[in-house]
Amino acid sequence: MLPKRSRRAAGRKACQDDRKEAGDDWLSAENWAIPPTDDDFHPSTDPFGPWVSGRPVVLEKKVEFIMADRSLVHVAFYAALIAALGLVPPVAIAFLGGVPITAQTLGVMLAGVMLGPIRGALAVLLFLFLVALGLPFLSGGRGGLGVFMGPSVGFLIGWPVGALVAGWIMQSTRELNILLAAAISAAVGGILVVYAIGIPCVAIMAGLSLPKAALGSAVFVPGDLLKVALTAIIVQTVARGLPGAVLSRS
Amino acid sequence: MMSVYLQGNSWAHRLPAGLKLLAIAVASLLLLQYTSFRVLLPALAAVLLCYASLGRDGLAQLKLLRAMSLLLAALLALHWISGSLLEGVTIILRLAIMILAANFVSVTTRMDDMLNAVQPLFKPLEIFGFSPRKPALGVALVLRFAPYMLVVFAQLREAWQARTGTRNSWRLLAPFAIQSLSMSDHVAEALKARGGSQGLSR
Repeated sequence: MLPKRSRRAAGRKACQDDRKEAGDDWLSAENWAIPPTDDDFHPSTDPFGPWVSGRPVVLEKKVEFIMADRSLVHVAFYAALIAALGLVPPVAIAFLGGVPITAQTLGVMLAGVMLGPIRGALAVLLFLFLVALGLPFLSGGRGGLGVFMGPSVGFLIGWPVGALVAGWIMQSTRELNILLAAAISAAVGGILVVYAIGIPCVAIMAGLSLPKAALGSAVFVPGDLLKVALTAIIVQTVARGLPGAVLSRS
Repeated sequence: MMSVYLQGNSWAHRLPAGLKLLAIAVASLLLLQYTSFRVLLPALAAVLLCYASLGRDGLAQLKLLRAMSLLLAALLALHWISGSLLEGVTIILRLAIMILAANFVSVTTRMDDMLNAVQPLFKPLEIFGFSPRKPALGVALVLRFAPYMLVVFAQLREAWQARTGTRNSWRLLAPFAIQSLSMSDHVAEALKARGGSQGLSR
């Protein structure tokens, strides 16, 4: 008679062999394309998952698709947020020189900071795709292919890149206080990167010199700083109320 | 449907969407080569003729220029300051032509035709395991989410107004963010319960 411990090990081995023969070897690591996280099996998101039903049915492909679908919904959510913010009428704030401020880039900053680099950029691209299809989602009710021919097209190109950079900074500053990290990410991604792409495009499309184009764009910077502050506050609030929703950090 | 599309059955509406998109891409690239009035003025006339051929509703679409006028005027002013007024006029003329021409395609093409026309462009992404149906599903989700968010915000604002008497507050942002985010979680679950985006392919 073997000692108790070895008998258990032998029993486990026999069970595994049985499963392999039955083609039901779900536990072995090669069946998981993406290692499942706790979130995948949490009762609230996966009521019929293995932890509840007792017998796992989640195989490689299914896990992959489920995660992709969740991501797709998140991407669509932030694209819709950018669109909804475009419908908010522009506000002219007196102490900022009366330049009208639109809420739209707030959505771009939020998408990058909340979703992380890839999904954030995809959200902005999906939004731009809808605009190109002819939906009047840009602030002021603009839409259609015409806006991609205008002088401000560089800012539209800069948005997904800005969201990418913002998400990347947010992801790589995990140890930092979330309010500060969100503010830095939104400022660098949402202002620095967007203007670095937008201003040269204005210069080319409108045939102006770079300083002149920068001068014309600079009036919008104070409004953008306001949006950076709003982004930081919103991200911190959401991190408190729904920590799982700050996907760039979870 | 909220879209810049204009209902109609003109010659431009009947052209296939892919052809129109290709034509506008080629025309824009060609137009970028020229800055002389001899090319730009006939081009402007051609574009205006296109709009005129759609009838009165078509000409009403030119209001797009009024929305652009502030931006174009600012650009002209910047040119004037730097002493290149004539160059500024040609460049703004060219911009206006390109914007109007591209808008003409949007005005005369239904959104689903446009979506079908660009769908093949996503085909190569299949190699990376990306379903070309995903962008279409994403578009549908955005179209449903955007109005829903406005409803959520309107409800919150009404509740705020009833309790405080003031109209708007930044304090509404937090409940709005959390309510609409949890809505997106419900949608993700509902999508999964119906077999996910793969369930659509059958």
